[in-house]
Amino acid sequence: MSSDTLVTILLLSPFIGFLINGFLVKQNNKSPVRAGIIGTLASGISFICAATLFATLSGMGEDKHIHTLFFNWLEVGKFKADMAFMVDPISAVMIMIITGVGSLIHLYSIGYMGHDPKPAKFFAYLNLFLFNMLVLVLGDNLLLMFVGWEGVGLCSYLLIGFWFQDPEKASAGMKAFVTNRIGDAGFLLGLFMIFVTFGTVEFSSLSKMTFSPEVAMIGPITLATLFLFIGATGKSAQIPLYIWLPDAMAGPTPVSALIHAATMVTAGIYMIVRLNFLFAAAPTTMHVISIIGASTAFFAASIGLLQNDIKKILAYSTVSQLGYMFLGVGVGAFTAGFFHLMTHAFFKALMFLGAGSVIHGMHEEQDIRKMGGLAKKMPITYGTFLFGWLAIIGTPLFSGFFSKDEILWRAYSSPLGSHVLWVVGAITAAMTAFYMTRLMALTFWGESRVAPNVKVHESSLVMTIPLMVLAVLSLVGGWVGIPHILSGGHIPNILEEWLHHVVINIEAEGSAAEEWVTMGVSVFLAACSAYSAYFLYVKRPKLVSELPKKFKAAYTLVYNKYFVDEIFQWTLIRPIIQLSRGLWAYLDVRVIDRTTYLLSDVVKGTGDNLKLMINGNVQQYALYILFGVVVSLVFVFSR
Amino acid sequence: MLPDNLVGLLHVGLNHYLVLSGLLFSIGVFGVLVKKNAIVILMSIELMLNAVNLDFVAFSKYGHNIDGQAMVFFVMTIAAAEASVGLAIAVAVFKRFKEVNISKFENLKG
Repeated sequence: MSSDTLVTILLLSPFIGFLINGFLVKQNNKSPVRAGIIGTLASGISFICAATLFATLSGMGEDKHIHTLFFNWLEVGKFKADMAFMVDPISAVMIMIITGVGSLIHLYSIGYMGHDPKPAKFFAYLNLFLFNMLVLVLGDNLLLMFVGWEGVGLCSYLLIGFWFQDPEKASAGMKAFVTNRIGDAGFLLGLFMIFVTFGTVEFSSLSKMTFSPEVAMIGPITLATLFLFIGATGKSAQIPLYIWLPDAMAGPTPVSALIHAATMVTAGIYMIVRLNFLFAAAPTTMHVISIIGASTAFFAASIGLLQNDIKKILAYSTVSQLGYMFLGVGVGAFTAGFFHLMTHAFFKALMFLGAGSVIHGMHEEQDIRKMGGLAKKMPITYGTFLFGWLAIIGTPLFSGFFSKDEILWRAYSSPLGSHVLWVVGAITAAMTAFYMTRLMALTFWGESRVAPNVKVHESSLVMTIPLMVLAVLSLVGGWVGIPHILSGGHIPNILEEWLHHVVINIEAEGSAAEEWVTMGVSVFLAACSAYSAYFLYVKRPKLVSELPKKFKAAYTLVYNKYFVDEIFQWTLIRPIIQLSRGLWAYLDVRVIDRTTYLLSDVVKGTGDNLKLMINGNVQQYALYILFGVVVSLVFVFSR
Repeated sequence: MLPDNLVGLLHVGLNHYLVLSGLLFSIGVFGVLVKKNAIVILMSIELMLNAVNLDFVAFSKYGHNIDGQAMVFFVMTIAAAEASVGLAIAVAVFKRFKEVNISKFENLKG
């Protein structure tokens, strides 16, 4: 099959799945099996195409590039955007993650959505999401990327609010949508800036531009990349727009795994890696990105320390890990950021699905204080979750270790990085180890605190098979990017070579000794904090209950997520609502309404008066005719 | 012999015809606009048509052009046709309503 056909099938398969599940399958059919099989099949076909494309691409020589033009989409003056898709090393990895992890999550959903009244709708949305995500990563120009960007935002909104009968969940969807819109406005401005500066929005033409510092383009590039980064903060949940992601956990758990951990939220990173040549030309933007990334990582991890909802912990963890990725790309280590995107997709999807399995087994209980000792009752879930835990806390040999360590090392050594960024990153790694161990301890280890009337059961195979696959990936996923220092140069860093031609890498400056020391320190810190969490929550649970009393102020602050939602509520949302209310009561009602009423009254009054002339008296009409004739004659002869 | 200034008055010229025609036309218009009796209105229309005829004839004579006189025949023909139709309607209306006052027939009022 030609690669054009493959790209077509890759894209259309989920879309056709969406159409079938959305319009043909009866919505009141309560069995998730038929809809689930259609959805999973659509996603699976896509995955096979993606894998074939990936293989084709790796068979190519230096210039790995497949370009498929569907048709000329827009051509207005100088502006040109094609409906064209591009598979290159970056997007090839992305489509593998999206369709691979996506297929597993589709499969898992058949089990998870077993008791849901509307499974067809769910799978339709999930397939639509896959389609939009593929458009986002494969689009060969910024505008097409924006189409996918908006599409995934829509699907995210639909799926967060999937159980919209609950007003809290519906408003969580709205919050995600509105917050994303703010970021999207930034993305659009960045797109406009790029078009005005370079006259094109195509990635391939953009990458061929040369940016020497003398060119007066540095200003526009900085501004454009900053705008694009605002878009990324919205989609990828960074400060200050991260607030929607924890609330997005209102959606079904597979959605959290697919959209809010593995794929959609990484769109911001993907966009920056895709445009790495532009971002690398704007050092100011890079500094902003690394600082925002590091502070988000730190901030979100600290909130995660005290959360009690299993999904909320994972959500803050996701925000924190995304912060890591931004720290990575911000210091010029695009490959490392992208690497972490990949490994994170595996282990975070695994942990979310594991959490889903726990929630399913506990009959919709999400509070980890009411769990404990689940390891014996849910052995498969526990075993796979263990892999995710080991990966995220950075246990050597697990995937998270390699990618996180690469980012930390680059933050330390890159000319764009600094030691402060490394310290923040290392402390964050320690906090990550702490809250994740706490999650493990409270959920799976220690005494059971499960309510006696809850019968815990292990999930069915359809749910545990995806867990097992992802567990393996969480272990081996990192082996494609083993740093040279660890292998002594014997094992090639596959990922770096793969991305070599499409991604600029700002070379690190540092000795091997420094790399060993920084790696050792961060692993040591993580190990210490993981052990202390284990000690606190398993060995001395009583000590934990006393801690909040000793550090009351700090505890209240962190427990309430630094009151960020409240601050936004009081500084932005309430004033805007009050202002709108004031405008409605005064400007709208008193000025605008009155003006329009006055105008309509004038027109109506005039009409009422003129109506008196049309009274059916033909003689009077004749008089008007006479009057008209006289006036016309006077007009004609007086000229 | 009359004095010179009175000769001008006695001598009938184009202007005399035009003024007379204008007066007749105005009386006709006045009748159409003001009178309520359908028969009188028809008569007023005849008056207006004949005022125009007078104009035609006068211009024909003073302009040395026979066209105007030819036109008068057409006008008279049409006036006759109009009068017959109008009177027929008036008679029909009178038979139906026993009334020729047009202010009673305002049922078409919108």
